[in-house]
Amino acid sequence: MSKKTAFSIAAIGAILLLALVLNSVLDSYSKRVLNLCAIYAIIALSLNLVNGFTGMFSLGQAGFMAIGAYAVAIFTVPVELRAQGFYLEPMHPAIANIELPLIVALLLGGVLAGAFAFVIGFPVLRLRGDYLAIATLGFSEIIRIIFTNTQSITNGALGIKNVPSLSNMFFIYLAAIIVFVLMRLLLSSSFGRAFKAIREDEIVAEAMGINLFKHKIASFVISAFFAGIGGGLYGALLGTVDPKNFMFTLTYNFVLIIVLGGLGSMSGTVIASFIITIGMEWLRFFDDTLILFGTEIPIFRPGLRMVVFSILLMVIVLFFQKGLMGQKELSVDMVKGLVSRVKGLGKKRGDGK
Amino acid sequence: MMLEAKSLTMRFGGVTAVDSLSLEVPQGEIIALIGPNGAGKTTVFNMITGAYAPTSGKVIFQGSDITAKNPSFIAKQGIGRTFQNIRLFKGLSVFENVITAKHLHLKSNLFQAIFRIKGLSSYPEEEKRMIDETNDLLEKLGLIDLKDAVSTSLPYGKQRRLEIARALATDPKLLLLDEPAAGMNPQETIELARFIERIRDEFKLSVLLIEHHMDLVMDISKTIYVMDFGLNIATGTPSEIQGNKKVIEAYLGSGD
Repeated sequence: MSKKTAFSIAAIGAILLLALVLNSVLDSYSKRVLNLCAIYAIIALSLNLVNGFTGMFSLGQAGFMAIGAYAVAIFTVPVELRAQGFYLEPMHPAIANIELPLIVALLLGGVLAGAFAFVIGFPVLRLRGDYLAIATLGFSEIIRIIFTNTQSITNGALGIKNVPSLSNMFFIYLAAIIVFVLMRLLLSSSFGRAFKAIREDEIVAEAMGINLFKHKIASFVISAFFAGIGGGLYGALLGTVDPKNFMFTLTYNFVLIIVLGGLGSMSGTVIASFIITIGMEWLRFFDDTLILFGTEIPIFRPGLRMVVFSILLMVIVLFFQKGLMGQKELSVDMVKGLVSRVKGLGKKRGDGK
Repeated sequence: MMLEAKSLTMRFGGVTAVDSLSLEVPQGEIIALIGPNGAGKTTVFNMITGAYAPTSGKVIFQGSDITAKNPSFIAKQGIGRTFQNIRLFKGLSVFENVITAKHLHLKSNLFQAIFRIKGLSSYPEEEKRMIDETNDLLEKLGLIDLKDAVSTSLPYGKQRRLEIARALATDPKLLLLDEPAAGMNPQETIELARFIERIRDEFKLSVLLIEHHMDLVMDISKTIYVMDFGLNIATGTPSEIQGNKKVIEAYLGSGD
């Protein structure tokens, strides 16, 4: 085993141990935020696979998440509690009595999302750039609208309640780590190199024998699979799944994350997931009325938080186009370099005195 | 015969870019395609490599018809190419640029590549083979010292060479070079001529090249095809072409 592999395994062990400890120490609010960070990381990684590594501008993640979330919601709600929610129209008899363990439902959600991506991939992946973005966005909305109208399966606009809520940090972080490792293995393989070649120059990639369509659809399906898993975890974390959770605006959170972290950097994506998710929570005070020196500041009202985030996105796009990490990955060497640079900076100041 | 193009025609709307061009590239020979700017030379390359589907005509490679096939399929059959304006994978290193071109012969599937456990998956062996072959190729082309450099940070001449290395990584039988000497001085052009002959012998290639440097063309090609306004105006050995009146007219204009 190489030193690098040993280090990675140690790091994974440390994170899981920390998750296990924090799971029993933290209050439920902090746990929820940290769990959301990990789930957002999964989905943002899946989006970055397509946008950052394969160079296809896809905005369909909310739709794939919805498929995963509904798979979990439909199949994990205890059979006896289902009638409570489905009062307008009873659940379709074919699925009314099927209850699956969470892991199976998650995988099912991932597979269904992947299968859907495969089907829409044939027409959609013939498009490029903005056109692809619009088409994927459209399909993501179509999924949501279908789910709103399949009353006997998804309970329509009422949504599905009583989803056994998931708050186990160990489980969620384990899932996130598995996704990260699988993605890392994929991207460091020859297929990952082919994806990057397509991102850099489609015409050359094709001239070098890389079948564009096969690789694009592979990337798209894998991305949807992981987004489905992430969506399933998201549904289980919320405890309620309804179509309004999966508006296309949800996708923009992940676009913000991958742009901030760096298109084409996995570690950047993870770091940005934590920054954005915790930031979203921490900046909630923007949404509350603020009274300074006895006067109410008029712009502090619900929704300002989103304005702040939009400004943040614009600042990144204008001034830090490569995001936090660019296309680089966080490594021991990089941290060492950073530390020595900071030290060097301190020394210089010392000399100046 | 390595490659046969049979009366290839390419029309873009009302413009006929290439008008029933036929050419042959015999095994192991260097064949040149020359002509003034806009004569349709690169369009011929694009038809051979499948980037364009010809309006009419056929491309026969090693006896099988590859007309208008997918470019990735054609690359797999053994046609490698370089581009007129260097097109490297910009963000990637020299090594990555070359090893990426090895992907087309990968036999392992995606799952074997992700779950690459030695003994269970064929991928680790293939990866090792690809790395060895890439290092070997970079060594042969004198790029090994630059392997970790970002491709676009290389000097111009090396970038050209890297592009050839990347094309060679696909294990081609026929190499299409689109103006390999563009932007080179006479000394570099002479070196390039020897380099092309060397790789032809070493990798057992046939070469079809587009070039404007007449010294290079006259020096290394067996047969020269001259194009002007999409038409093949002359074909022959370098000495025949040098004396051809039509060719001189195409380049310099006629006296009247």
